[in-house]
Amino acid sequence: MGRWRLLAAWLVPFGCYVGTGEEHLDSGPARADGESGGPQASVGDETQGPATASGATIAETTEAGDGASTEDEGGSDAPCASMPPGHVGLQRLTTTQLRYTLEDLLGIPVTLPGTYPRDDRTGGYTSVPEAQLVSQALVEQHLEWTIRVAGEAVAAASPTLMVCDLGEDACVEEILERLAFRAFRRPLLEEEREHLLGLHASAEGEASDKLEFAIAAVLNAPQFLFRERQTHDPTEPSLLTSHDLATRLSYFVWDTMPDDALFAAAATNELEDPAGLEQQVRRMLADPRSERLAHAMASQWLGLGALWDQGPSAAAFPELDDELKAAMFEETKLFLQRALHEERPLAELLTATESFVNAHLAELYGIPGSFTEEFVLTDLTMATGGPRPGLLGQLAPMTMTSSGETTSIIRRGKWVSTALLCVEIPPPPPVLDTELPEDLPEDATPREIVEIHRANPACTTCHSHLDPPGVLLEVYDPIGRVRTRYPAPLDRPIDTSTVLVDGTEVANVAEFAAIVGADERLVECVADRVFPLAVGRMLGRTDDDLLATIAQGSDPAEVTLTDVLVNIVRSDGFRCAEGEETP
Amino acid sequence: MSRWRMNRRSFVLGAGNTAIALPLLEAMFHSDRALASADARPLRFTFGFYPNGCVEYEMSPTSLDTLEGILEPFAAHRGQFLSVNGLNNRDNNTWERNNVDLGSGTPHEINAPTFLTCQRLGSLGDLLLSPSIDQLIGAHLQAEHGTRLASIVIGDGDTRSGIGQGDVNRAYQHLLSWKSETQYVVPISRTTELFAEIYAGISSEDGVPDPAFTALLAKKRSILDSTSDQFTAMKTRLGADDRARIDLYLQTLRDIELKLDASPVPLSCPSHEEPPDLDPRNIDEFSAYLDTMSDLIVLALQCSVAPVAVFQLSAGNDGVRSGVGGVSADQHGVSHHRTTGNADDLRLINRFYNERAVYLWQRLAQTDDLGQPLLASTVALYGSGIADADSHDGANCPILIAGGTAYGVQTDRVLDFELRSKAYGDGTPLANLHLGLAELAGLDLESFGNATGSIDLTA
Repeated sequence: MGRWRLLAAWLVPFGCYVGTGEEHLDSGPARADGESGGPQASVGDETQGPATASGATIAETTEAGDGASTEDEGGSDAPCASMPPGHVGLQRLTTTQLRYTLEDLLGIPVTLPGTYPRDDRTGGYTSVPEAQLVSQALVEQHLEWTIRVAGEAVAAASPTLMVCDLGEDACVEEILERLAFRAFRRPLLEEEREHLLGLHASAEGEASDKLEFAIAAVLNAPQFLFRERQTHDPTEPSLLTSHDLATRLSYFVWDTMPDDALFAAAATNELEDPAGLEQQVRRMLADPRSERLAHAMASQWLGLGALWDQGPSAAAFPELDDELKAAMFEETKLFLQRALHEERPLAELLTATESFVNAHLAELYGIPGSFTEEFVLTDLTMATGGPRPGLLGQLAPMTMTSSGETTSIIRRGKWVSTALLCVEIPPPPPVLDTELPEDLPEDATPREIVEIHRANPACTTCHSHLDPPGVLLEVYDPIGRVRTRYPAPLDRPIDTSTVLVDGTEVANVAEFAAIVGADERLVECVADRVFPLAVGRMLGRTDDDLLATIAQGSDPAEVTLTDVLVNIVRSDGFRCAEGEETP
Repeated sequence: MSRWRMNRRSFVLGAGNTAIALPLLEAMFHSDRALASADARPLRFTFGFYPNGCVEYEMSPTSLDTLEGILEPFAAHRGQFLSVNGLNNRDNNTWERNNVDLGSGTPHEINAPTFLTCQRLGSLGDLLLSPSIDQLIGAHLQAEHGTRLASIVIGDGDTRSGIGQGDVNRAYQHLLSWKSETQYVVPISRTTELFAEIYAGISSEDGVPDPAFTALLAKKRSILDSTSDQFTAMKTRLGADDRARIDLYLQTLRDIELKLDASPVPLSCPSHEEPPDLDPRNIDEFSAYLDTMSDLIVLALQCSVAPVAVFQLSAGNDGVRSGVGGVSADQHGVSHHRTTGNADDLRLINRFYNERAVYLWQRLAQTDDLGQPLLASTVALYGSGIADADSHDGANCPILIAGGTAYGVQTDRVLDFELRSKAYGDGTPLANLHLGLAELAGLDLESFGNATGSIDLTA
């Protein structure tokens, strides 16, 4: 029975199962519940309003005009009243975002120290607060890094920072006020300004030492590290302030602080109008820095950031080194970037027959022709074994979902379900016996084994969703190369024909890709998957209306990825936040 | 704590500080502390952990006469260690939901967090537990001996987090140590970071405090003060959930301040080259990484930088690291040796980690501690919260303990706490061993985890 164990390696892909309780026994797959996990502070203790020491809220002192919102005076037509914006915890800048932000803030190139803790993830996402663990190492490393970077910025006399001559009167105040405004991404409170200038005054050493010290203090301040949100009305869901909207936009599209144009738009309250938000997001998407959004989508939405943590073993696949993994990731990122910039219809994410290939990848795809290290847009219909449709045909997801020496039908099925269909399949309930039957034929293929397994009525509900996409993808080996037979000792042809949960018979990946690409639920799913990048929370069962507003019943053959992003940004889910008194 | 309080031990080691004039030297000591040579070799602890168990009871030998197969590496230390068999930690590893025990024994994922805490998880999603024995002992010995740190905690590079299987936060798998209910200790997973921690502020060439470092310390303290103030101010503007998050930051800031305050550096740490920056995630560097970390642990203990080291050799679950021991499938799959893996492959993996544990013991044995082997004053524990990996047997934790003989630990024997199939609540809790270790360190705890008594290793 040794052989089937090896093939069956993929049947226990998720490690020691421990059930999630009986509620899943009959309910089968469900929409991902965005509210699970995360810190649960005890509720019911004293909740103060968002008052600062001076008694004023940040919103009141920073907005132009009288500060009180004229829009949400209650009533059903008030913005943010019609659907719950959902709770978003306090987001910290991720390590990636910190690096870009420091560069823009200080105007010097910034390198991340090797020892600085990298971002953790939850559900694949890094800027969702539940992913952001505090560690002593993080705080210490940050302290050291910022002290160093502050020194470098002053020594370089960066014009972004040194907006005047240190010898001039009141220049230090000017430098620090401008720095702090841009670092905190909003006008300062009076006590913040006094605190900062007081710190500077009490510092020791030369003028440059004092300045370095004050800068380092700003870079460690919570107002810099965290994206504190303020709304117009702390007691009920209401619009975010313009500066918070600017911050949300800039970290969504560029992973960095707002630029001057965004700050200017915030100052004139243009961002409180959805049209103003749309204008900015389109401008930002056209900017080269939007490649960071493509990176985030590949890494977090599609989960390909895990490529470096999992995948087949190097012993079995020696060609799979970091450089190859990087190339695989880059392909998907460029693919998404093109979808954004050329405004391709959403369906093409599934059905496109062109992608970005360099020499390494051309070899794996089996594409004739001469390639270099550079990536070029290439017609994949020339690949070995025929067209590689869209994301389903790319190397990175196939590699990431394999482990040891084999592919995994269930891991791949789960990836497709989660990333492209937005159907979350829970682990098997505890009362189930998940052991394989004793009488499996010796030469059963993985596909045959899952079919036997799926025939067990206790397993059918979930596995009828999970298995078919994985079966279809068996045509790709553990690093994504096309294959027509299982390797020795099994040595049998690969048959990918399968039946989807709704009874549709499908013969191969291309057919499946066409079906998914034509399904209007794709639009909502993409919105669901990209939303956490914009807002910092996962969507849950109470967000159906919000998703419907974003997707607008569009046809995936016509709506573009850009359209989806614009609709996210225009939605109440993006523009609004809950009141402070969380239930 | 006075900034000038010097580490008594580093004074005794002597070399390199003869330039300090006597009166100043006296002033550096608290007047109530005598320079007792008996304390010159303080007791230290190392806790080594592997997550996925073994084949049946193979890591719990019933006799130390013949050490074969996966235990063969320990033969070189025959006489210097003991085996503690059959301790039960399963009671702390149930995942209850609505008071219904889900009955998976000790799933690999929560083996790590309960191993040194001996309590049930405080929450599935939030990382809540209770102070682990290494942190309790470390804090006690730090206060006793004036070491700069209470502990060093080392991991294998795993950084997963977020809700995973069974709604449990995946971060639990790479966390062994807790300082308080909310303060878990994120392990160090880089050789260069541990090195920097050991040599913080002193030149690794001649052991002399670096003057630039003192200035940097002052700057850091001021920034931390300012930062704490602003966090406290921000707290008043936040909702309840977020205040909890900020509290964690505030605690961390305070910890760092305390650490900076405790900063007199060991004056007599032997010089040591900075190690290469090895990546534990690269299977080709993994073995060298583990051994280099062991070298640094030995250095830290010898120099009294910390009295306790915790070393998680691997994290537990879900497709973790393939290639260990030359086995190309992932460790967790292999550890289910009756279904997705096989026993021989699991033994190869066990042997690999056993060799790493022996490397540490060997280095401790070879390192001089004022004329004795450092191992004699170090209790070097190596174990797991699971015996048979495939059946998740958490009721028979395999534990090997080397060293500590200068403090009366009786080695070269097997302590059997009913090595057999056990139900919940049966047998002797693992926590009893930890309570015994604390007593050895002179720390009298009223209780610890689910302990029902304490195991005296000197008897």
